[in-house]
Amino acid sequence: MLEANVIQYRGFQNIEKKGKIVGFQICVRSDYYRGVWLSQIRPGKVIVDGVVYPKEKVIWEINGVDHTVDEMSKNSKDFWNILDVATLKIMKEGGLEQGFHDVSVRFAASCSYMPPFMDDFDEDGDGVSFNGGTYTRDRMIIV
Amino acid sequence: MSYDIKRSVSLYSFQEEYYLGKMNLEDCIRESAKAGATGIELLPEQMMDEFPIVTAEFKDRWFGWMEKYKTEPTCSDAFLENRIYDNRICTLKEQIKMMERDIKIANELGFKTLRTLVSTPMNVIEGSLGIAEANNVKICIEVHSPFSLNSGWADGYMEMILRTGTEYFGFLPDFGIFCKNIPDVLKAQAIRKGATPEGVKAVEDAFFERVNKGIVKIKYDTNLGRAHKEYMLANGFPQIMEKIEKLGNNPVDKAFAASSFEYTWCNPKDIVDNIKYIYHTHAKCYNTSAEYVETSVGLNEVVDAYKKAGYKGYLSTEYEGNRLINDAFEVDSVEQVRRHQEALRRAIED
Repeated sequence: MLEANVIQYRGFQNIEKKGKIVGFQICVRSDYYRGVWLSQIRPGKVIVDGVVYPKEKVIWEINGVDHTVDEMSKNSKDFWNILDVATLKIMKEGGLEQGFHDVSVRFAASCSYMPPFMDDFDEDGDGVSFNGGTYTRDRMIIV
Repeated sequence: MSYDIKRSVSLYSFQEEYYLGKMNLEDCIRESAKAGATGIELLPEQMMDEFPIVTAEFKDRWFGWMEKYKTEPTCSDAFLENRIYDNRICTLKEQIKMMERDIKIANELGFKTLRTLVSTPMNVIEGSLGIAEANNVKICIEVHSPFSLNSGWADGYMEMILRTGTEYFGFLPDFGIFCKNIPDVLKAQAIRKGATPEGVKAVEDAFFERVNKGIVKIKYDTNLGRAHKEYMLANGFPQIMEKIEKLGNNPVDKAFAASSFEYTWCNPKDIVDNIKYIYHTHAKCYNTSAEYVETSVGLNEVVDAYKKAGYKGYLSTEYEGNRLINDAFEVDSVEQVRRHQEALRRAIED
């Protein structure tokens, strides 16, 4: 079941490939009322336990397809439905340790109908925009 | 003048429950019909799962629901994302293609009108008139606060209507332009978040001051950001911000002051003057009391104007109060829509 929070408990886990842990993933939902085209998404940094993973290190899986942030910025053909989850994947040897983690994901959805000064979003910063900011969920568990 | 005013509900009104998975599309339609509405307004980008594709299966279900709940499609709301890329504005051709997509979706699902955002450039609309006619869908530009009718902004679009003689483009007033006061739920939220009593009073006084003075209307400008800035300047925004600074510069007071400019009061006579080109209406609401009174919109006055003008069309409830209360309270959009539909019924029938 889709959770109300932007950062989902479900799906927060390490990624395994050929018996090795190669990274971890975080599932998020959009903080808006309608779906958006991929290029509207302003993906930003991910922070886990104080460690900052810049946006270039984050793969966004939407509708079963992996996208780099660069690919997303050019993609006006694929649509992220408001009731669908996006899986953010970060490669990191060994993944995350068993136990609790504080997780933050920064992103926004840009909207053409907002005056530009309200729609500005600094993907590496800490402020909020009309449609985005840094979402945090503490004490997420890796089993 | 004889009028034929019907009631619709924009399913946007149920955004909270839809987002939380408490209601699905059919639930929204059913509750709208239960509240007495005979029209359904839809945002395909919100509730049509396979957007932008209208699947045969969805079409079947959609028309099945229309029949089951005895409703008809009224308006389809589109979102022209002309800044869909972060490095440029879309070309005219690209924007018209987007309009075409949305007009076709509207037609497929039986809608007679398409809501186009207040920010839609005039040349995009003019370039889409042929497509609108071919699909029998009227493009309606939403007159959303802080924009208004009988203004430099509206004159621009009116000139185009008169010059082309088109019957496929008109206006869609949103009742947020008929607010007699700042919504009580917005004020209460500001207070919850830490606004000061002096700051709140100053913001409210400023609102009433500009209403009584007569709000300076927004002009037409292809640079909407600039037009919006000018509007804020002309209506005392720097002055209220200065006052807040003097009172202690509370950031919540500042945010409340800025938000207060999202609501405006226009003379309902604007409806009468422009009725020939008003093809749909968003009956915006923020909080309707248990006594069926919308606490900020001058509903009876406005509906009277629609009656006087001889409006033949829908008033579509658009509840937008959820985000003003969901930080502290559980939202009940179903109840809000029910109350607002009853408030509309009384205003229309009495």
